[in-house]
Amino acid sequence: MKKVVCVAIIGKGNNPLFIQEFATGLTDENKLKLHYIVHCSLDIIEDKPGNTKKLSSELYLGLLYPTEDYKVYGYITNSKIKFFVVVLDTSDIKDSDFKIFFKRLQNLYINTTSNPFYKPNTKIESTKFLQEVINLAPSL
Amino acid sequence: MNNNNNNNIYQQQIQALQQYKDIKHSIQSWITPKVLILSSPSVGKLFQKTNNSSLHEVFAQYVMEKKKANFKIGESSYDLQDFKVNFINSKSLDPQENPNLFKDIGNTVDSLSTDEYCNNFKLRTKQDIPYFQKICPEPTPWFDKYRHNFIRASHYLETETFAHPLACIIAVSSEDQNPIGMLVKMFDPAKPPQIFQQYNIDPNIPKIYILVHPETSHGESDKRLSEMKNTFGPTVSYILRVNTKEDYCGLHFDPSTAHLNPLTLIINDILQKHIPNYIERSMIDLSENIATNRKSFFSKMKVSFRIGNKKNEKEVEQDATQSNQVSIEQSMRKMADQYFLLQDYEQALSNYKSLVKEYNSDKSPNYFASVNEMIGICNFMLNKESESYLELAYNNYQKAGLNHCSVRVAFLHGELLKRKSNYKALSDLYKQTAEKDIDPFCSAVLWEQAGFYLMHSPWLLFRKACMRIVMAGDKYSEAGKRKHALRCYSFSYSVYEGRDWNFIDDHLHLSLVRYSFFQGHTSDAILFVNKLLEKNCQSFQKQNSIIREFLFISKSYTKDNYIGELPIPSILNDSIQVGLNDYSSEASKSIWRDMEDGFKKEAQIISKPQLQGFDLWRKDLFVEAEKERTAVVEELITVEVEIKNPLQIPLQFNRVHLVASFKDTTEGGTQMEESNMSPLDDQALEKMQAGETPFIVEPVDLLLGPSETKKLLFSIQPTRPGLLVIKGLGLCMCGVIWGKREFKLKQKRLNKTKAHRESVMYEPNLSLTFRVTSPMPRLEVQFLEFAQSMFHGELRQAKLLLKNCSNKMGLKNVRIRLTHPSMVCFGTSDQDASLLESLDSSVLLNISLKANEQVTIPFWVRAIQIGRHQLGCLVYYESEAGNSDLKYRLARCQTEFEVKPSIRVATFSQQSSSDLNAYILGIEVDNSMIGESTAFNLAQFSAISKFWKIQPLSYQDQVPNKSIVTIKSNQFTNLFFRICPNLETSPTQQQQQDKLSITNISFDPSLSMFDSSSFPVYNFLELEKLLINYQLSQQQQQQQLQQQNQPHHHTTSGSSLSLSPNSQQNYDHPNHLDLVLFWECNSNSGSSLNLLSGNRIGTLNFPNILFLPTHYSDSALSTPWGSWKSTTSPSGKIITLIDPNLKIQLPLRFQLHSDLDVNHSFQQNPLCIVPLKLQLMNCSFVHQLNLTVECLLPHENVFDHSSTTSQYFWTGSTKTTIELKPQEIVNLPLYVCFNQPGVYNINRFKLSVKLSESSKDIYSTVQHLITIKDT
Repeated sequence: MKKVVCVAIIGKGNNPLFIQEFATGLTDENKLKLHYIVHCSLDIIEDKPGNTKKLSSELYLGLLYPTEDYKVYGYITNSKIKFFVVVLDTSDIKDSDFKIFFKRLQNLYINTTSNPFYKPNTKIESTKFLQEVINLAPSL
Repeated sequence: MNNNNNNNIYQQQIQALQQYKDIKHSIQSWITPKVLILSSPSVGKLFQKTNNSSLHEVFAQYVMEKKKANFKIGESSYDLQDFKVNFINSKSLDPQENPNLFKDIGNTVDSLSTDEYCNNFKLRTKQDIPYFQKICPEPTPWFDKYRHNFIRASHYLETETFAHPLACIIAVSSEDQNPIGMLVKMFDPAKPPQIFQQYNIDPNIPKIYILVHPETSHGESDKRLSEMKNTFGPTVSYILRVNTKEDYCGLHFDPSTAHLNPLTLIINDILQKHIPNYIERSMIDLSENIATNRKSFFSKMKVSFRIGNKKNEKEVEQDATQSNQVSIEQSMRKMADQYFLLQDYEQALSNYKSLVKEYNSDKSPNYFASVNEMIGICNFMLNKESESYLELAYNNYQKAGLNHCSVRVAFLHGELLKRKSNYKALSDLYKQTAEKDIDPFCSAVLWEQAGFYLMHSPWLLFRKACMRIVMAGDKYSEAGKRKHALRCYSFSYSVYEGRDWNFIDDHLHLSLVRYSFFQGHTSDAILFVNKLLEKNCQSFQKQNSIIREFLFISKSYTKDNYIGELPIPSILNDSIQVGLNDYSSEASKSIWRDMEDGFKKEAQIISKPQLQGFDLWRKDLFVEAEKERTAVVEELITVEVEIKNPLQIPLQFNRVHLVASFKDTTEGGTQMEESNMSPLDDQALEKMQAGETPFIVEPVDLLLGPSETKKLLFSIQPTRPGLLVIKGLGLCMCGVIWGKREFKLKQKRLNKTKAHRESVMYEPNLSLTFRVTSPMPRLEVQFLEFAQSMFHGELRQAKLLLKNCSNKMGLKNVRIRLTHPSMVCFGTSDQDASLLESLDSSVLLNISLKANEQVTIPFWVRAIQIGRHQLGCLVYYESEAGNSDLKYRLARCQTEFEVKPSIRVATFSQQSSSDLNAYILGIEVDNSMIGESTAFNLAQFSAISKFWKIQPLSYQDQVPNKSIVTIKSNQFTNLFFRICPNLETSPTQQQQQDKLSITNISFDPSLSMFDSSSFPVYNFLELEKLLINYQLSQQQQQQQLQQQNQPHHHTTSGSSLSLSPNSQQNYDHPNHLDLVLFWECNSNSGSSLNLLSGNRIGTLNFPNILFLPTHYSDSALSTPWGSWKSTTSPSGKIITLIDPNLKIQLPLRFQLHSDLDVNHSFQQNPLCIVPLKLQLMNCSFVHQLNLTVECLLPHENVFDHSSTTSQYFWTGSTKTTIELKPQEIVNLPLYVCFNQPGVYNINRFKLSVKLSESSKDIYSTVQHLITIKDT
């Protein structure tokens, strides 16, 4: 059973750059709920005390938002790009695994956005990136 | 007064709402004695008829006031100041009816629902929240009332014995058949209604029997009453006389007359007699019951305590004593509840506390929860800690699946949390409750509260709060409360708006579209449909359903199926192009604009003011405002638009037509604005075709595929003079909904005045506004027989058809302008030719056309430029009747043709060495068309000049071999001619200056000569000269501009004696002639296309061929000898035939004549004197020349060592001053002397010419060799 339900990247202005759901058989309603959950998680990130510091070496934010069905984990880069992973509530994953996962995800993001044809702060539409994220997701 | 009233009503409402805030009040109105009212169907009908009410509602009015009641329970006595009862009917007891009950509760707060939480507030960031809380402290005023009503109405009969009725009113009508029997049957204590049995309700409650007696009834009421009194006892039998004609049967509660009302009596009896008596009695029974069972109860408790672990045993034991036990516990519960009803919370609490030990959470969570709830409530009423009990109750209700009870507990608990300002926990509690399977409206209210309380929490989780409000919106829509739903969605929308959360946006947009429509905010709905479809990120199935829903909603909620502005299709506003007879379209504007401006000038309609001097500083003030264009009645205006379907599904549009508004601006007109905004249904179509509308439009049906763009041409025909404004397109979407799409034209931002700069103002765009003027004639123009392909220089005849399309009006003053004015000559001969005077003037044709007349004008075309050309013809005409709005009209026609290269010609000219007044002209004709089979025959060569004629040099009278004038592909031929003065015309004869001398040399004597001086050959020559002059002057202007830009760059040609370069009279000297070469060819290629197959003729013109006297010794005066110059210019670029340096700088020619072989005997005479003749000629026709001839000493012999010198000497006069008149030839005798035989070069003389300022020395460079032989 897949643990990762959704991976999301949110830009500087809290606009979504990339949201991908993984669970099979998701209805539109569930998808919508995931989007809402990711959006709500932004509240928590804004509240995190570490957020106010200029630069923090620790980018991983830990568990942000537990709901009945899901848990949301977050990661914020120094350029205020936020990464979220929504996992099933039942899954039990170590923080260190999350750190590795997020680091890889950030690398993928950096590689994709370094493309000169990518306009910063817009939706990532690269199919290659999508495929890479899909490949990465089961590693958690 | 009215205002005051309103204020009062508002105040009352506020007060009424205030009382709902107190949750104790809610609890008290919930836990209050209930009186069941059973009425016969005829009674029900009676009340239903008069005011759609029922008996229990009538009763309920009478318990609003405070009533006193006295109870004596054992030793204590209770004196209640405010004793209330709830009148209920059997329906509200029935748990089956619960869903309807909740719905009714929801409906009670409908009147309080608002359109928005707060006016003009948009939540964008979390910084907005404190402001929101400040301006809108109570966003949900209906919540308290809802909570009150919810708590009050909720009951759970199984555990809550206070919900059991304490008395029963049984009412029958005196119109019933057997009222007494009926009364007995309706409540038989032995066989009570089913609900009493099911929930173990005590059937021995006091019963009050009422006979409802309508005044109109004929039944004997008194007799019945006494019968009732006999049967049921006198204290419980009442009669109620009602007046069926008044509201509430005349039983409406009125405080002033209440004491007279029979109902007051009944109610007072119930409150003060029947219920107290019952309670007192039942308390005694209950305490006895408990006392008898207590012993066994305690023993059992001890047993269960001792064998606590042996569950099985205990269960068996419990099962065995189940029936007995229930009654004990229920008795205890009932007693506690009754203490609560008597507002003795201490007693109730102690009873509940002892009761709670009887239950456990696993076995009977509902009982356990209920008792815990009551303990909590008692504690709360006594202002003690109660939260933990409520929590227990909440959890156990959830366990038991009693969701609505848990909602009630959540409300109570929530109030406690609110008092503690624990908003986060409160919000989560509400959210948790709302997620359960409960009444959707209740859930919505809870979600909404959860959202708003979250905003109060110190973390300001505004996104989460908004999500909860969205959830509330979803639930409201489930409950069918559209107003609430719309408010929730539109409040949250601002958080997501414009932040790319497409999925969420779609959800909200869709909901907003729906509910905006339902609430009649059609414009909002359309805005959101636009936004919904803007991103176009949905799947096509989804779009399909969106469109369907959109159509359905708009069909059911709009008047006449007309919706106004439609969201689709999108119109590419930049692509809008208007086609109007008198104006050129945008695309071809560049072709016509100059010509149109030319006509404007000619017609003296000045569009732009002439600015001078200081005006230029304020140029912007003088720019004329753009005017609307003029259209003519009954003439079509066409509009070309590109329409795009932005969606991934095909869309169908019917009767797409232009939408316009029309205003009658004529004097005495209605000044009313008429438009065709309404649907163009069959009725409107008929009306339009009948001519009742001020304009007629042409509807088009249209099917747009997914993402397809189509270019469409629409037309509109005004039928009356006035002002017509085209607004957009009207269309019927999918055959269902009518709407329009407006054109949004680009507007210029105004920036002239201060007001303009401070605010954002735009200039109106008038490109779709038309002034419709009275009828005018309309001319149609067409080229006929215009050759599509021509050779360079070819002459062709074609025709121009002018047709007046008007039925009524004539036209006059036809003028024509062409894009290539030098290529066309109108007319057939010298007599009827219409000629151009200058290139920027128009050709006036002497034509006037009556209505429906047409005329064909022949004209000649000469191809002067190779390439593909668009010949545009702009025809100007005026109405015979005249029209002040539109002085003239313009007609346009265009044709395309190709000019192919033909022969090329180069010329050269040189002074003759043998004749002082003759020159050589060479022409080289070259057919450079490789691979073409066309052969050109040179037919005739003509020279046109004032003073000169030409003679063939290459041959005598006839061409010796025809082949030299037939030039096949890739061949060339040279022909030489002599230019000599035409003796018949002399420039000195002033009166004959204008007469031209024309020499025609035919290469084929069998053919008749062409007349080079007549139409059209001569005219084309003149046109070509005009064109060259024009291009030259343009060049000079450019050069001047360049020189102005480079002020330090002076012309260094200081030695040049030329006149000023900008003089137009570059060739004021007569040494030039115009040449015309006629060719013929018999082209087979493309002959099928040509109407005139067979011989084709053409002329090549070489105007202004110069021939000048040359003086080689002076570089300034010399011209290179024998240079061929290409004189044909197939590309149309001008070839500077007149080099500015090639002036006639010194109009002097000279020649030395003598015997070249002289035999002389030096023995006889050592000196040989030879006479020489120096011929001097003044080439000028005007000026006189003064010159001095001086003979120079010959050179020293080069060979010094030679013993002999070979020198010659000048003898005689060696310096002579001569005055030469124009064209005069003077022979100056010179003598040269030799002393040895040999060959001598006699060129040692100098001519000094006096010019206006300086003098110029000329040395002869031509060898003149004389051979002296000794005999």
